[in-house]
Amino acid sequence: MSNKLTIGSNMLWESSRMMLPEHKAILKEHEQKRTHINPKTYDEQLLEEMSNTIEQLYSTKTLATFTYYEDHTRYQLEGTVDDIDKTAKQVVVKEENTRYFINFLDFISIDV
Amino acid sequence: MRTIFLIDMQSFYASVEKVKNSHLWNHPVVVAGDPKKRNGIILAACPIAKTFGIKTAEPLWQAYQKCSSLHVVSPHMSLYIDVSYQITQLLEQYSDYVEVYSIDEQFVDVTSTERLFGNKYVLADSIRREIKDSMGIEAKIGMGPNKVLAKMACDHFAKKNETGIAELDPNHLEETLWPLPIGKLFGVGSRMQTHLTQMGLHTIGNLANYPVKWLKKRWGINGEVLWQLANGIDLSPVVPSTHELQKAIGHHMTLPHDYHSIQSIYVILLELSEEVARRVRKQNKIGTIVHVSVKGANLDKKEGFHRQLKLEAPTQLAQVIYKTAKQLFMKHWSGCPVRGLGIALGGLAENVERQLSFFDQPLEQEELARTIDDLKDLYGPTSVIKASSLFSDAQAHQRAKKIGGHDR
Repeated sequence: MSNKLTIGSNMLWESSRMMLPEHKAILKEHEQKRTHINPKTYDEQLLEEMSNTIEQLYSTKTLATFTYYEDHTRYQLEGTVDDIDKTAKQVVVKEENTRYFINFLDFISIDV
Repeated sequence: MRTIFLIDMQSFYASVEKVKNSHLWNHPVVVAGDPKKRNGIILAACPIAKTFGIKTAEPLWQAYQKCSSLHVVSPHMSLYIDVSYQITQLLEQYSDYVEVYSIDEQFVDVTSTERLFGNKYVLADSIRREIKDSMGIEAKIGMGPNKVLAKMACDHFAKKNETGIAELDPNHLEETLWPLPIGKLFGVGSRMQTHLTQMGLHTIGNLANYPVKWLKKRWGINGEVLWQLANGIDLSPVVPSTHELQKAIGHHMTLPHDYHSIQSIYVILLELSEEVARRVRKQNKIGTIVHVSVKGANLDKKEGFHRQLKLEAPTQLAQVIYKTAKQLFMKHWSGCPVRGLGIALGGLAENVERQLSFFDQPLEQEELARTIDDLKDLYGPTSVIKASSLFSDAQAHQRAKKIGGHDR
């Protein structure tokens, strides 16, 4: 249980403030808009290009930088393509010793 | 060390009204509720009105006695929320860390951005000027290495000096903060003040130098918190997302007159349940704990109560909330006249998956409720109402026009 003395807790201020629910609702919406990235729109050509790159990286096992989108946030990995699952449309990227499963459509860019 | 600002809008409601009605600029102005509907107290008084000795929260008639040429303006709550939100956005140009503390106070953590503007004094000055230029409102800024010092710098120093900016340095609290009376410490209310003065602690400095273990023994965590605050210690971060988390969704209403009959009280309970349920659905949540609070007409006698009951299965339906609230009310109501009523739904969770009760089939009901919500969104909150809201004691139509109990 955290309390007002817990490090990193904001309870001292959260328990003392007075906010109208209408005001809170606006701020909540604002915060979501501010921090969340919208999913990208797809470009057929770009997808094809990326699919080729992934195939190539899979066969050569070269190190590349993968930028992808998940849960309204942008993530970046540096690793190799470990596996391609064509039925699930997923790519397995291996960064150091961890394997990440990324949906093909969630890739934003791949830089070799 | 961090640099935290607390930015406070001077007599916020009154200042907004003055900007809106420029002919009031040089007159004493107060914003006050309607005296006929029992909210005739001063919500905000402009600096000119304050020179007559008018204070926030005093009754309107008392203010008139102090100044007969007083201009009284009704509140426009949604406008104030709007302006406050615009100021939040303006502050976000200076730092990503802006936390709204109340409608007229916002914390900004400028630790990592202050040097982009020169230094914190230049920055504070530029924020003040920009708020004044774009909104016409005077801002006061308190600075400190943490939130509590920023807040007290603002409340006790910035509001009283010419520049509108004040800083509390943790190394010089002895000369600045400590001589102030104990009631001025953030977090000390009138009851706490009595306790502390009875212990011989009259100033903030007295408390700061009192052995913390005795404070802990008497008040537990709260005692230690107060001791830390008196010593200028506060580790709380500035959290922009602080309003995202919500433990309960609730509504409270002060009635236009005291209600005596249980029938008319039920009408209000149902309306409140409807409103709570609608907001719960809007956020796609479900809740399990129903709270009911009742304020008695006689404020001195403490006839009011607050009770809660846990449901067997989580809900987002007004009927279920109403049924439980009614049950709680019947059990605990002494028959006293009622001045205010409140209902809240707590124990909130995302409406993703849940255990359904074996006997109820709520999903169809929820579908119906969502359809009604959509109608209300499209055609206004009173487009679909319960027949009971047509009774003379019902408040749905009145409430649709209000925010925080005052006109929109």
